[in-house]
Amino acid sequence: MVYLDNAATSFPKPPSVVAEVTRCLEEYCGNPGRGGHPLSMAAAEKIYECREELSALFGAPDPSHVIFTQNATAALNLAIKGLLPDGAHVIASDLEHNSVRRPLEALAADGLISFDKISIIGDGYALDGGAICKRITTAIRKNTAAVIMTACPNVCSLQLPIAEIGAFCRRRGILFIVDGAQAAGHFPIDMRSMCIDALCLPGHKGLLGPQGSGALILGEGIMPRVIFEGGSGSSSFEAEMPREIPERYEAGTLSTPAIAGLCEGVRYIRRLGLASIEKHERSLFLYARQRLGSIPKVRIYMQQYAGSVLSFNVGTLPSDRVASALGTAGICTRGGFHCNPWAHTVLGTDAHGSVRISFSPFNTPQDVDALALALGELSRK
Amino acid sequence: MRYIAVFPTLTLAKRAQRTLAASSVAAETVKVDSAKTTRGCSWGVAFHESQLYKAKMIFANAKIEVREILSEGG
Repeated sequence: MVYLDNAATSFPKPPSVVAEVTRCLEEYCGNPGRGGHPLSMAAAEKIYECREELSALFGAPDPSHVIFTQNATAALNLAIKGLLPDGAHVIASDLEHNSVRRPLEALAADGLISFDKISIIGDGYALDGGAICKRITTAIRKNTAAVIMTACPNVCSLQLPIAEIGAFCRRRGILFIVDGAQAAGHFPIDMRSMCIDALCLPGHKGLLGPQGSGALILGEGIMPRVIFEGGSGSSSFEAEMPREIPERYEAGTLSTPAIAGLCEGVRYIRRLGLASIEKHERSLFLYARQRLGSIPKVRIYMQQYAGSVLSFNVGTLPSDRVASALGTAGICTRGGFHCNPWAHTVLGTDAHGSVRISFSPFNTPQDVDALALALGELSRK
Repeated sequence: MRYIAVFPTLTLAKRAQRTLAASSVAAETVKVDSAKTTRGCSWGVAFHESQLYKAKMIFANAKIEVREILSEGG
């Protein structure tokens, strides 16, 4: 089996992740932050270790700013619905995933906010930071409260100039919310130097943790409205959630096994080094571009941006049919629209979507060879 | 005897424990006896009585707000 669907969820996981999830379930899976007994305290210790790892990897103010969620979508919902005041105006890129688009559309449909999207790509190339900031400037209104951008869209490897956009937003006093779903674990993100106010992350993609893990990391002084209320393991007689982060936003029992695995995933990445991972995935992209580019009928989109994601189509074949045929050949890819109709509209693939391959540190050039062989046979049919 | 510095949340207690450890003060995160707190479940950091003054200084320097300090078993 060749797995090239790491942008959906990474596979395989590092052995240390699998071992820690197993160890958690077998040895210390008490309820963290509830009881004072050894298993509960051991679970709490692992949870805090994971906060420390994420805080260090992403330049958070301190570990308490790491709020665990079940995935990036939940983190984005908390950031968007918790940070935008009623009547706010928001600016987003036209490459945003449905996890950004749908919360914005829902709030707008309820008359609570308004939003504009700005184009990031012109003539097949991404705008530079200055040009993007000019477009943001044009879109700004008196009530603009936030800019929401993906650090890297999920249908191509384009990296947005997050540091420039963040600095621009900071100067203007506008919140900067970043969707790090396809960036985390693939290239460096530093909240401090990039002026990110809220960073939304999945644990199960580039960070190599289990599904069911994710995080919202808040910048200094950023306090969303509470979206979920419930047990917090502290201040139990108070009617409201605790004032203190992260417990204020973590109602109910956390998924200790998922977070324990995520902790080891982040440690694995920090040991490898993001520069090394970025280089590895970039080299796989370039190799795939060369191999797939030589196959008749294969069209690669945004191929000038090398990274962990590559999208293509084979002639006029529907992307899901290609992905299905590849699956039958033991190669896991993803066809369709990748929950991102905005980006597919920009790429001109809104009719049939595209086939997406996406890399992890575990992929090899041999995986690309297997894909190229199967695609070559498919294109000849 | 040990003292327990009480914090409103477990994460704050963990942060306090790490801060003490960084200054070579051995400390353990504990759940505080609910009968001793007035606002429901609380969390604390327990350390040897000989470290009380040092711990207070460390918390003050790190701007870690302690809700109260209890004597364990007292």
